[in-house]
Amino acid sequence: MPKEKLLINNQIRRLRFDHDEMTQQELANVIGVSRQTIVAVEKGKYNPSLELAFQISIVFGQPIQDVFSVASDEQS
Amino acid sequence: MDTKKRNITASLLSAAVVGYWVYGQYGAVDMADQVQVGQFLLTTMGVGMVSNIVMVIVMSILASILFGKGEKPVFDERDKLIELYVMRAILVIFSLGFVITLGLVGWYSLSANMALLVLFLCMYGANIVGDLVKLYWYR
Repeated sequence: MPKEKLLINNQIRRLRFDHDEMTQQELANVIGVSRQTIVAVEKGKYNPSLELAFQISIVFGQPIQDVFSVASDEQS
Repeated sequence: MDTKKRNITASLLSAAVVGYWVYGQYGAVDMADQVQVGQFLLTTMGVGMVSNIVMVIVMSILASILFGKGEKPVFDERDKLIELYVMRAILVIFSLGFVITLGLVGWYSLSANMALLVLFLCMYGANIVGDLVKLYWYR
């Protein structure tokens, strides 16, 4: 099993713009979290729970692997 | 300014008010008198609670004047995680203070009244550190 820290990238910013330029606040309201949480997730400062990750992917109508992807330290 | 930052600021300002009040009481309380120490600590806690309520109200009014109507406060999973970090920081500081107090009682013959005051001081310091940790995560 690899022990290096996994970096989780996300496409939330791009997907928001693809969805009629949805604002962070609108996304936060739909999911039921604060705008600061969306900001933190987008910037990669906070890794969301599996439930929140699925909720985000459901809002954008995308499979979860299209919203969140994993890159190891070496790849980034 | 969102509600969380506003409440943290109010809590820090309240801690400053308590600190100022305690400084003002310096010399007025006989530390050897158990009753006076007890009354002093209880009054300080009361001052802390009242000042916190007043500061939250003042900050709410100021924030609404300066920044308009803010975002609706939402408590989500990230807030729970931050609360955990804060609780951990408070527990570490207070535990350290507790051990130091026991050491002072055991090796430097600190009186029970003074030990109580040191513990109170640790609790006060731990709360301030907790607020600062919260501010760091919400920055």
